[in-house]
Amino acid sequence: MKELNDEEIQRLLEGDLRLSGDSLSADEQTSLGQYQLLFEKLKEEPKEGLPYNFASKVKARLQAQINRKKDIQFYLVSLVVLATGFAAFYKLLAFVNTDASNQLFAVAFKFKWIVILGAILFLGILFGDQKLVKEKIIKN
Amino acid sequence: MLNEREVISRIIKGDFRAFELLVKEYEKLVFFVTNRIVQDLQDKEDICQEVFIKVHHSLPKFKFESKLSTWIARIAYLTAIDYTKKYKNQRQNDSPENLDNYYFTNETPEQVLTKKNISEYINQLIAQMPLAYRTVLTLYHLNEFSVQEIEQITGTPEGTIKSNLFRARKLLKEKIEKDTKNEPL
Repeated sequence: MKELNDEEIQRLLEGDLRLSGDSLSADEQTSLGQYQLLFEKLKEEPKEGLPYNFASKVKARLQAQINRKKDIQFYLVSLVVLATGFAAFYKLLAFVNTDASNQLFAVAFKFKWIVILGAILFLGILFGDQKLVKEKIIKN
Repeated sequence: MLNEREVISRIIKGDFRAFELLVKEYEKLVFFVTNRIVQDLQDKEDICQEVFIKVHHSLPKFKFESKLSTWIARIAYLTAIDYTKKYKNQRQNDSPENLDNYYFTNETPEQVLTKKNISEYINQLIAQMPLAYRTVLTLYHLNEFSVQEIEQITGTPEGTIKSNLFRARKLLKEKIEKDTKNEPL
């Protein structure tokens, strides 16, 4: 009788091949036993794995990412609202009192770098603070 | 058992608790996929995190055309492969020119020591194998994906997967047989 080759033994173990009733030879049985052991060992899970709090770490990282996007949107909207508000106030003042509006413009122009730096510093502190808080969340 | 449709719909609506449930359900799957592609344990954790962030971002595009596990495994597989390419972390024998002519090299003293522990020894042998063999052995035996699902995950044709699977198992069996001839398991 023709002996089973490696492919047939593998198929036998996977249930894709059925024996016709003849018993296996000693060599075939040895080979079958070795493959059986290998198949069992291949199913074994690795010893190392992810930390127990992995899911909450991913959740915190995702929340931080989403919140950061929202924060950036908020800061940009705030900046636009602030600039628009100032422009509206200036227009209104120009309508009520032209001299006062000219004075306001002159002062704003004189201190333009201080105003711009102040705005950048304010946004920077807000952004940095959020980032530090979120990094702490991820580490924990 | 997780109700996938309900959980996905909750996640899309912004429920982070549902997302945490999904991560808990599939963290083992993602770890198993990346475990044999990437070497460093810390990198593995980072990649697994990245995989779930990608899963979250892509969930609205998931149309239930495949099993959720297959879809997540594909993201994990592609992320791990990208990572090895990006950081040139691929070993020289990961993609040998002729995969069919791959054989194990001679054993190192470390391997002889661990031969006493057959599981550890097999894992060491698998770690030496080319990427295609490592991947197919993991996805088929550990993650219990079918050949068709492995095709969806890796994009490798079904015939190649079957032949890689057969050859990888034969190589392992022959190596173990040879190494344990005078040393019963």
